[in-house]
Amino acid sequence: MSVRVGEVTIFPHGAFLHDLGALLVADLHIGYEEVLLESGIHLPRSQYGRIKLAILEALERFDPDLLVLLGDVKHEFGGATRQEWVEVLDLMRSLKGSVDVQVVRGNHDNFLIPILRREDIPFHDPGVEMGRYYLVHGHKPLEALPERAEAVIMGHEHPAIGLRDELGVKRKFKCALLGGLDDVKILVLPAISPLAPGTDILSAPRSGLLSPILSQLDLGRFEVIATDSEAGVVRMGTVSQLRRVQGIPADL
Amino acid sequence: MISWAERRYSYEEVLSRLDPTVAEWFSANFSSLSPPQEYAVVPILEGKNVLVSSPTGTGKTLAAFLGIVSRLFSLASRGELEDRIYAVYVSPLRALNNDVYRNLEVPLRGIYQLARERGIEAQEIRHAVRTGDTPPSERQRQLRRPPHILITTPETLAIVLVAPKFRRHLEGVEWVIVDEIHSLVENKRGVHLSLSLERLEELAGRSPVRIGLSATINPLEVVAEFLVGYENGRPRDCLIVDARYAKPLDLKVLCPVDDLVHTPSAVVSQRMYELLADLVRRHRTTLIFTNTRSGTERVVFHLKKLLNEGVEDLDADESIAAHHSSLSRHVRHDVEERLKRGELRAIVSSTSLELGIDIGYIDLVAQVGSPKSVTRALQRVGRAGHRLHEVSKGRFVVVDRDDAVEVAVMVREALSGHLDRARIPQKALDVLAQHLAGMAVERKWDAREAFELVRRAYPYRNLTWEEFESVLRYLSGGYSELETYKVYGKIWYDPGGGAFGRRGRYARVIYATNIGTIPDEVAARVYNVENNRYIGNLEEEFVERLSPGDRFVLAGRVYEFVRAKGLKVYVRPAFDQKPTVPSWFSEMLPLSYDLAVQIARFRARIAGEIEEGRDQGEIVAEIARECSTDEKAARAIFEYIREQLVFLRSLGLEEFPSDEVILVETYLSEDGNSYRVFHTLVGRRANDALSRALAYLVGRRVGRNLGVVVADNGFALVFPRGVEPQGLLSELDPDGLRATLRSALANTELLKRRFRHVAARGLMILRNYKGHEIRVSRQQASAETLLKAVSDIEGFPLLRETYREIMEDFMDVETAELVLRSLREGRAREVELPPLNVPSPFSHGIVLQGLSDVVLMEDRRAMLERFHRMVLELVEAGQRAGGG
Repeated sequence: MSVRVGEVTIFPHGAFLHDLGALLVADLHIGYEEVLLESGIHLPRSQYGRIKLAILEALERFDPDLLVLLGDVKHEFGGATRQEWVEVLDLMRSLKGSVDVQVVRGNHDNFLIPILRREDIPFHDPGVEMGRYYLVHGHKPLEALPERAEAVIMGHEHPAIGLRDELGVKRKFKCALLGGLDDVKILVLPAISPLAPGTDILSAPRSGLLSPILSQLDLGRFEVIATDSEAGVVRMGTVSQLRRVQGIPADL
Repeated sequence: MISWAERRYSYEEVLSRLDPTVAEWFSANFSSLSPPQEYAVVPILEGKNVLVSSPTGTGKTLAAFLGIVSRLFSLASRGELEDRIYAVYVSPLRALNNDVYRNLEVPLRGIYQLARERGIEAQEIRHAVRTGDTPPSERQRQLRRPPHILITTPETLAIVLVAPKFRRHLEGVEWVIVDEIHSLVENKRGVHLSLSLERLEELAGRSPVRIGLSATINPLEVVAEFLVGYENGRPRDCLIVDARYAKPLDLKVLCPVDDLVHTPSAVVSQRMYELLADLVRRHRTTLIFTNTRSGTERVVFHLKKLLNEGVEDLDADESIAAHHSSLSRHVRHDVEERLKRGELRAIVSSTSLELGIDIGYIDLVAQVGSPKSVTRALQRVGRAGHRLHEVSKGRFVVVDRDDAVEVAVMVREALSGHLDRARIPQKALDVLAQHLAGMAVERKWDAREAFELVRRAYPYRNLTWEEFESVLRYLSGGYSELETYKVYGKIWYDPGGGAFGRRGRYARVIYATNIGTIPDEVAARVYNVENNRYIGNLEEEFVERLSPGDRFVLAGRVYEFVRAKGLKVYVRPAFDQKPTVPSWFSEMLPLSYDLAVQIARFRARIAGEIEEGRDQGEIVAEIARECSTDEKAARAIFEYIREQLVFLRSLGLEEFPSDEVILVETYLSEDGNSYRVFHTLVGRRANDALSRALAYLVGRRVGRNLGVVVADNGFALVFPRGVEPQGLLSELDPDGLRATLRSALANTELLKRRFRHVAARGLMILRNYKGHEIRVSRQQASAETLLKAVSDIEGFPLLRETYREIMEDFMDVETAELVLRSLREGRAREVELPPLNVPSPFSHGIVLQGLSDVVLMEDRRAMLERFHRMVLELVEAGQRAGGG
């Protein structure tokens, strides 16, 4: 259920950096049910348990020294009432016991800061340099990259691919994207949130991408690594190859 | 007890029971009673529940209102009329409400004028319409001075039940009239109304007289139970007035060309339009039904062209119009008014004119293609001859051979009075959720008491406490991980104390603004990218799933998706290519079970006669006589059956498909897919269930996704290249069918779409929230995501309801079980043909239709790996090309 590329192992819910002993997951969007509720969708709250379980399983499997949450931990939309933060507190407290936790700021994390401070969890904005990696959420353009950075690892985009078979069935798979910007590598992680099925990067035009980092780039040469909690992790080829196999025009 | 009205009251008897002024008015205006009036007026006066079924124009509405107006006038002349609502009239159509308002205005005015002449003083009887269109000022007026007769829709009725002050006017209501009940019983709108009626009865504090008015429908006993509901586990009393055959029928099947097979389709269409133009010329006003909205537009276009070319004094542009639900209300209203004024020679409609709005004088109903059920055929034809004793004249134009057989048998059944059975959805938990939310707004309830109220509605008479309680739990925010999230519930519910009630200040608004059962589909308009011409509509949901290059069927033709911009879709014609996307959202009406069985028997009987060597001319004449067809249609039917017979005999097969023999054939198509066709004539809804269950069983065996084609005359499984076609219905266990089907539905587009509808009805997805309409909800979470989020919640009522709705209402799992059982017990058997590279004549319609859906079996891993292999092949091919 995973694929290793150099020092990075990609598993269905994130990545493990062997050289740093660090586990990375992105886009938890805890409490997304509240956003849905605001737009009139009343979903029973049952997502948090799935997210927590996925992280605990990964901790067990990789036994990391460090866990980095790559932004959008809580899907906040209003104030920070205690009720809404029960789950985040529960998560932070249960993780802290077994591993060092650090958080990179995402676009949804404004009210998270006081809680992290209280729980004594390091918080990075806009990103953090670790070894040869630069970790960001991905909602802002990359400005000055640290000198030594060889690879950028980010979230935010919630990448996915939609594949249609010869009978016309289209199924969506979350994926990681691996590509480059000049001589710096870029790895985009899938969202761990079950409620974020993701952007279909095969049929989305460049302007339809969320991240300003990616919308600057030609995604055609990015490698797609499907990360499906059911099917596992499969290296699929590049975005443009998949587009050709699917008969989707390359010049979207 | 449900009983049939036998006592027919004479004109004098009826008049003697009425208020003298009302009786005098009646006799001055009507010299006789119509059949519904002879049977219904007196029982209604005696306080009996009555169901009246008869065609349009037989005086049903007056039959219902005469007694009520008489009683109200008696009260008014004694000065005893109170400021409250005495009678509620409910109809599914706002347009019909306005008609009824006007049709009451006339008699009331006449009666009061007569009263003045006789020197009788009487209070005014007020009647008023209240619908979603009623302005606040008018509602205020109704609150201050309530109408004595309230004319409304099912949705508005459900809203006034919680209106804080207005609802008090409903206390003591004495009569409830449900009009056009035939259009409600088979869908959730009717289920919704059945609960409103019980809530109204609770509010009334008495048992109002219920009067149901219906066009032709069957069985009337069941419709009667639906109307009156249950009390202590037994149906309340109801008297049935069956006047379904009050108007004589003149039906005929017409075929526009001599040879339906070899005549090019463009010529067939042209001849069909000419035939229709000819019918229009020879009648004063013709109502033409097509089965699709796009068909409606095409017929209008061609009729205008043909009739403008003629020399007749007929301005086709002015006198031919379309009427369908995609047109704006304003346009439709204008068309209706012109029709009433007799300005139109022809009006073309899909389904929108089926209901009984007053459309004036129609002397012919023409139908293009098959209406798919005997009952619907009669309801449509019943629109002709708008007065009693006038003939209902119907002409059915057929343009393909399956239609010819189907319509011929349908006309035969209609003429001999064999109607298909209506089916009422049972125990819909989404509709129940809506009502429980509404009841909670009214007051605090003892859950047991509410349960008993719900079970008095016919569709819920068998509801279990467990089912009922699961809806309360869902509404109160149960099924969440943490108890604390109950704060998000729409009601509070205390299982210990057994009580529930309203929670939150938005409860009333949420209920009132999200009421109803009709899913709101957002239609995207589709244009040809090459010339910007409008082609038709697609549902937004369908568009969301398209990728550039996908090909799909719209209005009977194949188009390629280019791009979408908001609600505008651009496509390019790809008429000669095969669709690549199943047409999930077909607007086709399904062939009914009863008619399908008759078609199977008919085809087999004619085949038998041919085989016995009876003279061809004799058989053709017999078909024409028996089914009231013209000679061309009879010959087309004969040839069609003969070809199938010759085809089978040439292969050495001694059987012929019938209601006892299911022919199974395997057709290897040129594109590499193969079709396994099952000739099951059990109605399309049962075919839908059988095909998906079998596709699941076989797909699991071969480890691949299989396509299904669901048709009226059978179904097909579609196997991708390299997979051997296989499978028989006898492999399916009738007792395990529902479970198999449930697995087969996982991940299908059908499930996702229906779940969204159920979630909206069950108030999980609100269409209106905090004062604004919600359209963004789909961007926040797709139906697929929501479905996934609730799929592992044990017993979640809305998911349970989604499966029930699909299996029982959309499909016909019960009939499918019967089919499997008759295979097991040897009452029917499957007969297999060897694989062939031509389809048999009876299969053409099925294999040409395109996929209806795909049953997913291939696991996600295998699918990923297959696509990865395709990429590798692409890369290798590129390298070879580059190297060479």
